[in-house]
Amino acid sequence: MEKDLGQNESALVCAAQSGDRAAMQQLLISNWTWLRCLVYGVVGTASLDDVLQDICVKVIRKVHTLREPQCFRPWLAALAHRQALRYRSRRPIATVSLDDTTVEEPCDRRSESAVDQAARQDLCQQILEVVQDLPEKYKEVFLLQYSRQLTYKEIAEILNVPLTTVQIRLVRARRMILEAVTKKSKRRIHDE
Amino acid sequence: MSSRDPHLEVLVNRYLDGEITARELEDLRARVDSDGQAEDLFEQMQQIHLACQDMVQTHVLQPGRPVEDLIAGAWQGQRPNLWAGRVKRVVFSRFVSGMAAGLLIGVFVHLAITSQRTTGSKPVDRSEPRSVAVTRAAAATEDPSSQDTLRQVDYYTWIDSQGNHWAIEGLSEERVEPVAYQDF
Repeated sequence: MEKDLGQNESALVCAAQSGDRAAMQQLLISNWTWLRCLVYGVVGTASLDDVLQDICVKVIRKVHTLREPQCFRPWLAALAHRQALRYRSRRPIATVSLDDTTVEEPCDRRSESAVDQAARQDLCQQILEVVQDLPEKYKEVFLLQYSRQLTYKEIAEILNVPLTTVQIRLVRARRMILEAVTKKSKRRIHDE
Repeated sequence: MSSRDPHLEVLVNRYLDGEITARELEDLRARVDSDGQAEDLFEQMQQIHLACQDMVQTHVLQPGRPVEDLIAGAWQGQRPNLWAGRVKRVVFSRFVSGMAAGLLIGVFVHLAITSQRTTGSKPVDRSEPRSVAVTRAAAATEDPSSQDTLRQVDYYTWIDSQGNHWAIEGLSEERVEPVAYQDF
């Protein structure tokens, strides 16, 4: 199944290299979720869409330089990472609070009580703050995993690291988040 | 201290990410059932996991323009960028030709200056001996610069009537100065 998907993606890459616009669009859409997460890890929310569009332009312009179509994902990740870093070096990262964004609640959460929703939102805010402060290598693995699109193996391929490294970084990222959230809760109880 | 047991943490993480094998799942269940701390960790991690999913969904994936719009914008952005590429190529070729012209002018000026120097000054004959030692009692009271035979030497020595050794240099500039007095 995984092999079929890979072959399908390679075929799309070949078509995109020969100028097939639909293939290029399909290729970008199928990799969009993790790509967005990866770029978010570097630039944050500020101008995320602009950076992503720049990346699309680069991909369209440079896809013909890719020699091995099966290496599309690592190539795309490297290109996106480089572009995001370039953008970040020009502009400082702006942190966005949960209150600043109008977010639609997922359907299954609508039935929750107001107290539960507030608690969940609070936890979400805390996690967002902790994730923003995570070291880069942990943040990228964490965000790629939560794109819910990739397996450990695929993340390892994209980031060009061993599979065990992905696993260890995820464990550490979650541990850091758990510790930070617990510490904050304890401090809050102590203050009250 | 099972809450910091690395193996348990790995198992919980693998479970949350859907990467756990049947055997590992069995192991995890056994540990959670038998150990209260392991159960606490499992529940905490699950809660964090759900909140992380929400956070990524609401803050990273949901906001912003639809992907189709961005891709369409990227296709439109191709045209000016290609033009920019052409402009870059022109700028680069001009830069290279400017560098080449500068290099040629530099070489020409260098050659002109060196040829002027060589025609204006007399070449030094390196085959001549660097010093000439002259021992002459009669020259002790005379100005050695008046002796044409010694004009081309950089320095020379002689011994005066009292037996002092003199070293004189600077004849090439038509000046005679005793620079050192030394007993040899």
